[in-house]
Amino acid sequence: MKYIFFMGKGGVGKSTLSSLIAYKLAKRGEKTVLISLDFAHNLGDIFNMKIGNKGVRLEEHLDIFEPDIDRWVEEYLRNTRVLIKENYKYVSVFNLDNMLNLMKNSPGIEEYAILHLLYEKTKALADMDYLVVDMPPTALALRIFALPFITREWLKTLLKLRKEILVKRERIANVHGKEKFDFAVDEHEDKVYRNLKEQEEENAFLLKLIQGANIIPVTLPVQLSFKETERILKKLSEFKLNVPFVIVNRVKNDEWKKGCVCIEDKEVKTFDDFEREIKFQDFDNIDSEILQL
Amino acid sequence: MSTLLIIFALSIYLIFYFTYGKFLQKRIVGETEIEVPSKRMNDGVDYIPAHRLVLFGHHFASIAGAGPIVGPVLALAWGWLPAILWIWIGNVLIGAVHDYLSLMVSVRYDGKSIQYVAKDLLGKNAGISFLWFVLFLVILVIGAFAAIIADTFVSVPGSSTAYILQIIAALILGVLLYRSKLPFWLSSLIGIILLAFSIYGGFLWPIHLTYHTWIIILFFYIIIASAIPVNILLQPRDYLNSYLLYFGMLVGIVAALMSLKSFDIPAFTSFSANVIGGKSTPYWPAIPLIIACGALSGFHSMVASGTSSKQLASEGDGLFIGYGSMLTEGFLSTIVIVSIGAFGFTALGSHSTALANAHLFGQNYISQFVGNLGGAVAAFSKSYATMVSSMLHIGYNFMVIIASMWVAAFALTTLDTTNRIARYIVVEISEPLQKESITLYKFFTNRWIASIIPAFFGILLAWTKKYTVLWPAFSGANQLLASIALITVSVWIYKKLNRKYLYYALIPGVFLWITVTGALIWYTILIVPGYVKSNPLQGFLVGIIMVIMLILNFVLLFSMRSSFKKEEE
Amino acid sequence: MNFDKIRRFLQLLEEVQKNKATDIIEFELKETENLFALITLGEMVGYANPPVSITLSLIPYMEREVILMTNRAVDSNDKLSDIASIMEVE
Repeated sequence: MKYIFFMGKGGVGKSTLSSLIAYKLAKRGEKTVLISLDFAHNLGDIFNMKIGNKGVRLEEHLDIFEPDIDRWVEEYLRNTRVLIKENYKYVSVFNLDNMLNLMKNSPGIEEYAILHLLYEKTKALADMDYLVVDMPPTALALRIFALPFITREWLKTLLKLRKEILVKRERIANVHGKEKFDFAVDEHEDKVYRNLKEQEEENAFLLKLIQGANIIPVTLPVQLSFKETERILKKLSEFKLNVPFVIVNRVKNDEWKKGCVCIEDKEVKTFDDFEREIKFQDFDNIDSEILQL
Repeated sequence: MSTLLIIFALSIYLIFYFTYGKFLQKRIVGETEIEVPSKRMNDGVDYIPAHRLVLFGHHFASIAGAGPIVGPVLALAWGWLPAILWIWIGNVLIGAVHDYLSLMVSVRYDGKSIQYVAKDLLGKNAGISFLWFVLFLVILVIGAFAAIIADTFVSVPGSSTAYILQIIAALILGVLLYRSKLPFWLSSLIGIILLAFSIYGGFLWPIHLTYHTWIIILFFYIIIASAIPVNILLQPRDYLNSYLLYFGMLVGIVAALMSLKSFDIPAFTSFSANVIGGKSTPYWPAIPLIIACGALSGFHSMVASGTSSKQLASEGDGLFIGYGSMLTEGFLSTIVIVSIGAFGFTALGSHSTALANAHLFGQNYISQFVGNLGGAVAAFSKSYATMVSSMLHIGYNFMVIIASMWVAAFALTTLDTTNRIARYIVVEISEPLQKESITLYKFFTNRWIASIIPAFFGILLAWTKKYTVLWPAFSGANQLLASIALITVSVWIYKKLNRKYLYYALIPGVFLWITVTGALIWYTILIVPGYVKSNPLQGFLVGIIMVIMLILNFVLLFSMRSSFKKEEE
Repeated sequence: MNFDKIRRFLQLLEEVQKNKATDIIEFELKETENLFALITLGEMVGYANPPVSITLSLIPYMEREVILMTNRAVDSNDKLSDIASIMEVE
């Protein structure tokens, strides 16, 4: 499966472009999935139908999803709470409720929710040819791309520390026998260790997905939008992610080139004014470009 | 006489346990409807009820070390009667009361430490004084014990070999215990056999090195030992040591009971025998600077209020653990008195006229008797070995090595474990620095620095070879700690329990305060200058420590006064 | 009956020795577990914290560590006696 992510400032036309490309790929006979990971879903508006979490099969080869991220976060927190109640014997749950409420609003939970949804969908739809992703606006999108890298480092640290703990427990259990303590000794028994391993697996999958994906920044031919694209490119190159080209949307004539110095080293695809030219057949060149990626 | 003394000691301890101890338990501490922390706050991690015997084992192992052996050896300069009297009276009326009440106050305070309770009842100064006393105690104990160990290794060369071989035995035992599938008893048995071999090895291959070489080796040993993972060396070594203690005590009791021998050394020499630094030392107030751990030890208040109070299964067990284990330690000291009192002269063999009469004995005991036997530990182990070999027919040389190694091993444990404690305190004390200078704070709290500083100062002190000067300084810090604990429990009785019984803790507390303060002033004025003259650097270090401790000690007294006053209002 | 008592006594002695053989490791284990809790739940104590997803995912299985951390938070300046209980000083 090939992955194509569209990202950029809000309102540059990511959703429209990703819809367009997904549609064209599907028309060519490629089994394609289109997912919106933006909180403000607008794929439904583009295709003029209700899409939602369960998704819609639009053409023979095109599936579209608009997962409800907020609801997923809430459910996730609820599940965590249930799990805590199930697993804890001594600690009063009161404190933890407090803590979970705190966590609901702590930064990072949305990024994780989005990545996790992406993980689930990708796993479930492994036999597809193309996954086209409509990313949320720049800041959040960049944090999403960064998260697996940060997570990898943390998991490495935590797994090492956890192993140290398990070794110490093993030493003690070797003397006292395992029955005496209610802590797990074995890597397979220790739920924390297992959970860390599961997280590591999921994270490795996501990392591979992101590192193998083509990320296409979309920009408008204006200074502000270019500046932002410059930042996106810098950030993405820090993580060594693939950016095959940048799309400059809504270009009327050649004047945009003057402001384009900052992204000179990337090949730039131009479009005529988006509002006027919204006809899919006008984009023949772009989907063949993408097919070559 | 020797047998009688043992029986007498046993009876005193039993009688006091069942009368005075029970009185403390029933009348002063009383009963409460609130459950003990281990049950009320049971969390399966820190707060877990433990069987009284298991807890006793843990508690006793934590408090029994080289301390209750070395002190009585030196105190015999005054004659065996004054020494044994301080051990017994100090033990049942002060030491055991101190241990028991520290345990109980911690139990009533949700398992909080005595330092916390002191802060709560006496104010912030008490908590800070507590920390500083512990830090000084740690530096001084490293100094005193390193000097004693090096002395022992020189005079009983086999014990050093035995100790080094024991390290190897511990390394092997560590693998067996924590990694092999062998049952616990089998690994332990192999460990014990290896231990026996290491003692035999000491017998075969004694190592002859000079005092200062050993001191340098000890310094590096402390630093290295604190960096090695505990399960490799520290833990199995400590575990092996426990067998040395059991064996030593058991054999000692049996042999002492069988001995039926009269005491060769004088019952009383003079009120001012030559003890500390070779100078004439008044029995009162200096005695607590010589006999600390066998009669009273402030360090026990920390042990009692550490894990013991969090695992006590019922308040009724408190007496057995707090009072009982302290009596057991006093009993260990009694064995020391008996061994030297009855067998010291036999061990010494021919001796000069310097020990001919009681007065001369008092003057020359440390130099001619202890000195000729090879230092405090050697004096004990040779006397003890004489006793055991003549009663139980176990080889004399073998027993000398066992006994010296027993004491040296415990003293060595002290060296590397105190270093860990010191590291903790250095970090704690440096905390205010965090605001003043983050660089300094980072410097002091660095793992290596925090562990090298106390070791360095301790070893620096040991370099002077004068353990009869260092030992009292260490004991002094220890007794001051005990005095904080006793004052704290007095205030506790006054505020939270029954005022009527205040004096059962306050009188020993105040008596101790006056005695130790007097002794430390005497020490600072009469002993420190001589030390400065011979070893300026170390002398000043000890002097400064003494002055700071004395100041803190007075601060503490005022804290107590204002704390009582506040209650009146 | 008597035999049972002796057996029980021997078992207790064995437990005493087993504790003697593990007390320092146990102390270190708790320290490490506390550190683990501080790192994963660092958010609450103001340490650098890992992504919240890691924390949330682990919390349900970390009762022991949470207890330890809470105990240590209550007596953060009160560990000296605990160390003293395990180390043999005198």
